Amino acid sequence: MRKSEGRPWIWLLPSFFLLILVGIIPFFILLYLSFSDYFLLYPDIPRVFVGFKNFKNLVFDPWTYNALQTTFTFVGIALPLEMLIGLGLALLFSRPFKGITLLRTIMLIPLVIAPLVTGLIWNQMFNPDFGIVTYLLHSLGLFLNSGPTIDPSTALFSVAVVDIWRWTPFVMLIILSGILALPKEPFEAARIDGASRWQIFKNITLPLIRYPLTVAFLLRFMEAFKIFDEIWIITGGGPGDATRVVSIHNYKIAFYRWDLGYGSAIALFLEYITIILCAAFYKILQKSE
Amino acid sequence: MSQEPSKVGRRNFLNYLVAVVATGVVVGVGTYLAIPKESIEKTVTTTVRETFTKTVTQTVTQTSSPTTTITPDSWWADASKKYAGTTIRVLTESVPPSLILQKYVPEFEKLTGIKVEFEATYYDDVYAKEMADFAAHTAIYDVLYVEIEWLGAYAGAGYLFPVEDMIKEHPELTDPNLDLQDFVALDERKYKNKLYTLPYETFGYLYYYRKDLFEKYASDFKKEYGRDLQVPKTMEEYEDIAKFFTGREPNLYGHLAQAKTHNALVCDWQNFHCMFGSPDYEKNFIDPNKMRSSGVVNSSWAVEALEYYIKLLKYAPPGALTYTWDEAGAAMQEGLIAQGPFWGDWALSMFDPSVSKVVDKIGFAAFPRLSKNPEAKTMNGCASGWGINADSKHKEAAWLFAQWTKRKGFDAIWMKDAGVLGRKSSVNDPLVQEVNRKFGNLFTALLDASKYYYFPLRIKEYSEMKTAAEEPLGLAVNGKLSAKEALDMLATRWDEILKRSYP
Repeated sequence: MRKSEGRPWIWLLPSFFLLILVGIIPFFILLYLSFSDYFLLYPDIPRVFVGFKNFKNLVFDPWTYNALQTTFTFVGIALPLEMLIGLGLALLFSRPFKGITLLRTIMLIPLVIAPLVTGLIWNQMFNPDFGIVTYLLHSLGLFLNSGPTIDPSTALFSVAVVDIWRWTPFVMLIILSGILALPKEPFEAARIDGASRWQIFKNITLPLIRYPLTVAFLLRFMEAFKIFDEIWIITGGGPGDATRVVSIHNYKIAFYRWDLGYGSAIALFLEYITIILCAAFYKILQKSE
Repeated sequence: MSQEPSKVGRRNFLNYLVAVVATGVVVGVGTYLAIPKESIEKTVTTTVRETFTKTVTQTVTQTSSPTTTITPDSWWADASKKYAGTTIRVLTESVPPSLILQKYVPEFEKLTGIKVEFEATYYDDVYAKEMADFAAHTAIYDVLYVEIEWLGAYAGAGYLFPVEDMIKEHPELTDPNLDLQDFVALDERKYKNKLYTLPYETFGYLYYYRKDLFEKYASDFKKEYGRDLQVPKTMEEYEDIAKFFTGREPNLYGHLAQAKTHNALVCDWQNFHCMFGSPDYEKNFIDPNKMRSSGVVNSSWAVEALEYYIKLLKYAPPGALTYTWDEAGAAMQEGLIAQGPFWGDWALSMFDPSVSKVVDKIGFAAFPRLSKNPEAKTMNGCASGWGINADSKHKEAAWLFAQWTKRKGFDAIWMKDAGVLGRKSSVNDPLVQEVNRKFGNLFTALLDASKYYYFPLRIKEYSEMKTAAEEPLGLAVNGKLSAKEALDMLATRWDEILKRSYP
């Protein structure tokens, strides 16, 4: 055995150093700031420890409450649809047919586009005056003198459509990799026993792909819960506060009002709520097994 | 409110020319005798035509006014000798005036040996980058674009090195012909009576209108309203025209608004707020005795103003609820708008065929006023300046660059392409006047409009107050709150901010 192979921690050092630098240290700074009064616009106001003041403000701030409600609604619309469509597409692409490689590649295009660019593209398509989506809706007699992103009742659903368009291929990819790795024997045995397609799917495929499904669900939940880029570009959180999800609320507090104390408290709260919900989902899924 | 430029006959012109040359000779001889020999070498009095070579774009001939004294290139080269090889970073907004200036940066580099990294980005990003740079004391940027509404916050926090101090501490690096009084709206760059930034550009809202449509529908309008269709002087006339044009042609609207829940909406609202308020515009936002906003921004006239703003939205494109200045400018360029208030720094882009469908069809004037409140200010003024980062390690080089961009002689060349105001002396420059004639009396309209400009409050809380106004106003224009409810919310927010500094 070579000498260096006996010290694996040496090889871990670069990643460990990076983790400390971009993860651990910023987290403790965030923690410190969330218990302080810190306004970047007013450096003359001393940066003092204020205990739970920022968290107390958070609980009684109707804007934060509204933003959380909007975020849950957004996740509630986008996530189930992404999972369902992703599963359907994964099943479709799990069987060989002519042109499958080309189609699969095309399906992945939304994933490789930067979120900012996605936002810009859809912003133009939703443009109430000359956007293609608005034009098509107008020709169907819908949203006349309006547009899907400027009507407060449909704006959130519109940005959820963008999220579904962008992330469904990701869900499909994870589930597809799970399906393609499944053993063939249980399926052959089921077919010999005369099981229908639905029975095979319900009793064999679905239980066997529960892990990729769980991974896709949790990853998408975490991402959808902190969505920012697309909504920021398309609606900026409007009209009014119709699409003001909690990340946009947080950004406005921290980088528009430069209230870094309160902004940090919201960020920390967002972090914990994501962790707690993910842990809860994981437990539920484990129990259901 | 536009004025026809006076015509000068050939005989008069020759008389003027002789007078100009004679004055120049007298001034030149006087200056020669009055100033020590070495400094004469650094100053050139332009009494005759002077040719500037634009190394990047084209060669133009510019006639400066007889009294304009231009600092020669040799002065800049001498002053910057010590700083040759230094690299400075400039951060500004990516709007036409800055993008035009950017073309001339290699000239400065060649002349002084100072390397300039010129970064132009969108408005919100400029603010975010500057604040991050200040907070971390990283001094990434040396020369900063300072929008008037940020000035109070930056200066109050000590983030800027005052230009006034730079002039005092470094007379040897200060352009002998800087002539601060020559800048439009100089006082708007002061915080607590101290000059913090070097005036860069001054402009404001203007009334944009489609000359072609006004001509085309003149008789129809007269039939319907019994009067001529002309540039409105009052808001009542404006509203009639807005109503008349909306839907007159497919995709044509009679009003322009920037009503996205964004800074742009606050700017738009302020025009109408001040229109209904006192000509002493600062009192429309804060009660100076109490340093509170309640009872002022949510008073009955203020509610009426916001209701009026919302009422006019029906004449604007539906998309106006998602417009900031970028989308509003695009709507104007697309030909969707027959008339409306809009920022003046976009004016010349309306004549650029690569982006505009309304080339040669746009005219400009001052925005109308309410007939019941004719003295009120109605247009948001923007007076930005070059600031020097207090943390910068290259303040001297930064100062030289800032001055070079605003030097006499060059300012007119920049102004004619930028379409905004710089120096007062540049307005009468033949180059600028030519652009004025060609492009809808732009500069005449800007000067006319400047009488009705109001400027953001120069208090350190203003920047935060403006941000805090976005949401209540956004909820009002989207019908989730009444005008009164929104303004009550706004007043409460502003009071909370003010309480911190004025308990």
